[in-house]
Amino acid sequence: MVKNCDEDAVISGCGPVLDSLKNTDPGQCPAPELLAGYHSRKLSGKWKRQIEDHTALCPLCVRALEAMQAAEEAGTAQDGIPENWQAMENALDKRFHERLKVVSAGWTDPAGRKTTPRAERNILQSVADAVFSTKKLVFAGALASVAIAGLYSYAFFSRVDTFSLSRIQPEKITRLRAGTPDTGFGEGLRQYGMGEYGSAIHSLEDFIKENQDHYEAHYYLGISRLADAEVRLLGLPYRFDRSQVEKAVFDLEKALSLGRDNSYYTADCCWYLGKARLMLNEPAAAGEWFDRIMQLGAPYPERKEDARRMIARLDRAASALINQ
Amino acid sequence: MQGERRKAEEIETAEWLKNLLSGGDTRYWGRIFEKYKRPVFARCFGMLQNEEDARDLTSEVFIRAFENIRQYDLKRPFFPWLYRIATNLCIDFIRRNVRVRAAQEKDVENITDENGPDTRTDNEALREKIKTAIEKMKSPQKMCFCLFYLHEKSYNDIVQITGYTLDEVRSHIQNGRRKFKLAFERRV
Repeated sequence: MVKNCDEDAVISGCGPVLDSLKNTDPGQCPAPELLAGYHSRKLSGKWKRQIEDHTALCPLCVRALEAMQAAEEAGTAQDGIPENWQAMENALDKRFHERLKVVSAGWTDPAGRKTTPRAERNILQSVADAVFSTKKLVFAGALASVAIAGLYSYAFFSRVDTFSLSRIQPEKITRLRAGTPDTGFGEGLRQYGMGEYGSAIHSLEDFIKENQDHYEAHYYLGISRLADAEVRLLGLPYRFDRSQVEKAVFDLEKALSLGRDNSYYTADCCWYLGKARLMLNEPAAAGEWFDRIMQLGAPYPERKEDARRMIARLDRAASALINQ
Repeated sequence: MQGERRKAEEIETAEWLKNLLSGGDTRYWGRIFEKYKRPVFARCFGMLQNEEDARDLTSEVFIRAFENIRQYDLKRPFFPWLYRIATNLCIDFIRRNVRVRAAQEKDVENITDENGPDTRTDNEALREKIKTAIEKMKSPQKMCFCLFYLHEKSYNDIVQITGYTLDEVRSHIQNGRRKFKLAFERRV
């Protein structure tokens, strides 16, 4: 004990000089990743020794380690939100969007090509100017315009939809047509059956103005919108109308609420609502609709099988993502 | 059930990121911000313990992640990557902040220093001796010794910071203290 006191006296005598050994330059500090690795006890051997040798004399890193410890003790991520979060959230949103606007100004080119720095782009532009004369560029531009116009015309007239709606619908359409006295509705169905989705939407919208509680009309309007929203050309998406899908969701939900007693329609509505959510890149919401089909009392077995397969695919995709 | 939801959320985020990267539509980044701003803010606030700093840094985390999005491996979960960026930025911020404070304290010390040039030379010699004495210690000893004497941390604080057990910390400090005295006296 006496010995300790003696040692303590020596050390405390060195106090001010000992203080002067402290590092005050963050430039001397190890990378934040290493310090975080040390804190999570993932470092060993040489790396651990290096961090300890440095941190011993570095109040900056000691403070950072303490902060990480404090954050951990404060609890999980969702716990540490202060009470006035709402007010702060607005300021945070504003700040983020202002910054994003500035940062994303030169970031609009698809597939990552626009990350080329501006100076570099200018050089590339000069090289391109030197290689191509203006006349050649005009000719190439005209050629490209003709090609694009041709492709779009082809796509417009062929209208290859991705939903395979026609695969399962004709039987039902025939049945309904025979049974329905509503000519406006029948016209909409006929156009839908012919693949004239745009016209079908107009006819069904007109019909619904007079018959707002006609759930079949809402249902067919919804799936016509879905079919019209995405058109593919040679298997590649060439047009996608997000607002049309959002409107389809509204129509299908309306059909679902009105035609609750018809299990056929309930299952179909859930199925297309799931598909619409997938088109909107919301797999979680899509999964809920497919789950709902599985919970239904007596939907026809094919639809239940479709839903089961779709859920399995979503689960597989999710676990692949997590495992990677 | 929670695991499944998390999986679904990851899939959703991955889709948004794919759309962002393939189409260049930055609105998808806005959606990602909406989805993860709370946990990122909580992390920053947990480390900085200051609402305004945490708010500024949260925004910075998303901007930094956006600028580096092409380095992100789409096959890996997104949130841990974002969380790492938040932690790294907080560490940098804390280091910068402590440095400013340390520099201010140093200025005050300089103003109040009334000692002459001779004392300063003596201090320089002493400083070298102490430095050598500390350098002779092994890493864990040096870490625990300095945390205790130089940074004035308690035994429990040192346990939290280093991950050593209380007994190990106690032993490292004791051995370090002995070694320091021996090395120091040998050079006096």
